[in-house]
Amino acid sequence: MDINVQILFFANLRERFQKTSCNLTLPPGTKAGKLFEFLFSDKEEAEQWSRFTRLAVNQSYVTADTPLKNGDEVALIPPVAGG
Amino acid sequence: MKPFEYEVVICTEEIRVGKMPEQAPADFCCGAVVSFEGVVRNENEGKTVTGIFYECFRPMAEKELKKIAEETGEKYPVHRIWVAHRYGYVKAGEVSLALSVRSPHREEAFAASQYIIDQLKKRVPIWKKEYDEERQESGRGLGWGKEPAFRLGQNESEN
Repeated sequence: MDINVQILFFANLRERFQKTSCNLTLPPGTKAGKLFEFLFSDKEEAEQWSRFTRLAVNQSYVTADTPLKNGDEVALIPPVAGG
Repeated sequence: MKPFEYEVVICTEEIRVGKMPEQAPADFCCGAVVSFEGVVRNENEGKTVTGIFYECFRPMAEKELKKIAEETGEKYPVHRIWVAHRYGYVKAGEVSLALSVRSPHREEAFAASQYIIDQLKKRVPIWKKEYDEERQESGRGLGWGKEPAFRLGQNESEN
């Protein structure tokens, strides 16, 4: 069965999508790193963002090969700049 | 030494080291207090800066900062950590980050402070956009702190 996840956008990714979040329906077992392909129709752009963006599931960083589960909240984290 | 304790603050209100909890008798085991304030500068790479807008994924920022504090307590023999980060618009001259570390001796207080700030800059989901006078009026900043090194695509023309 397909899974539903919520995607959160911040900083320049929020500006890119002009929204703070969206919901995606994905095939079961989709890995976190695959999200970029679903979010960007342009392959090159997906690749560029994926190179700089870290992923957090339910507010903890995960690696790109982490499988997503139904109901996950996935935050796309562009390079951070606190301090 | 008493057990290690910490407090993490993420807020929009004004922060400074002076706002940290006062020394309690339980802190008398500490011979060192290292305090640090990160202040918004009025210039960056030759450009005037009137302020910085900090965007924050608050629940995760708190969680990640707590993890950093806990790690610091495992790595260094420190007694108490207080760390605060402000978000929203912070004017030049105001404090964006305040930190205080208490420990029995100074070496670990300095080392722990450095570790906390280094980790915060690497991991805590906070982003900044600098503003100058002209762009402040238009609501557009000078760009995010660390822009990816490529063009942003369709929305780029608006910036």
